[in-house]
Amino acid sequence: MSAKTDINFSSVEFLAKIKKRESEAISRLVRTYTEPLYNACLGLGFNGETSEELVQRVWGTFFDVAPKFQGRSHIRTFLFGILYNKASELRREQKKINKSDPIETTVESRFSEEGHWINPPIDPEQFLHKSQMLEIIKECIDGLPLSQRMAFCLKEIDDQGTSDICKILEVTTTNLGVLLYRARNRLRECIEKKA
Amino acid sequence: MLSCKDLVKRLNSKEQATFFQRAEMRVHLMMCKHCSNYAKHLAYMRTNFKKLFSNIMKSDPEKVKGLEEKVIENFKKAGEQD
Repeated sequence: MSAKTDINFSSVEFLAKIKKRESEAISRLVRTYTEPLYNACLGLGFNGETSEELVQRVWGTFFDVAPKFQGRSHIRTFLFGILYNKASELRREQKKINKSDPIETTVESRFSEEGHWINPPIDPEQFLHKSQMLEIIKECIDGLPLSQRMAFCLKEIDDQGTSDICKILEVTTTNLGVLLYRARNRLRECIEKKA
Repeated sequence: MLSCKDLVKRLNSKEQATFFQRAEMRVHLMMCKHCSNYAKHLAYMRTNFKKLFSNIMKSDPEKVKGLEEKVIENFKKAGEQD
């Protein structure tokens, strides 16, 4: 995305057009953000069909709430926020999410009371070898809760700014740090465990 | 002296370490094989996951095009109903 389109989409004039539901402005918006939204769905582990369905729901919601959009955050951030909500809804339908996360105890349990390693990390060469097996990584990523996966996707993969990610996930910076910490360590443990 | 557990915490912290903290961490990593392995895992993960995700997130341009048209069409239909 070029800086030029970014400026256009945040401008007051453009927002006014969106609110007035001018079809040319809407079309431009849809043609710009459908692909990144769709890709994010795939990144979150939804299949092609479900991803299409999700993206359509996102736009549907966006058109419903657009007249109330204040323009306090970038439209891209706003859209990804809707996507995250829709994706969570879908996942919640699929399964219930645990509040506490066992990965924190796992990380703790690897240290003695003095803070020394009891069960030290494996050799990096070995780790690299394991983590190059894409199948293994995929399995491990599929084991992440949605919030962690979304945070990880946006942060490590997509290089979105921290404040935008916090707005999308509706968390504080501290909470985002926790999510990323859990995701990173859960993945590390998972890869290490795979033989 | 910094314990391994503290070092792991600091490696995962988003807070910018001070000059002294960075030096402390560097010394620990130089002396501690386990922690240096852990740090390397994190670094590997960064680069590898970028690759993996860019593979997963590659979508078929035709499909995206079709989806865009569908969304725009739905929008216009909804407008006519209003």
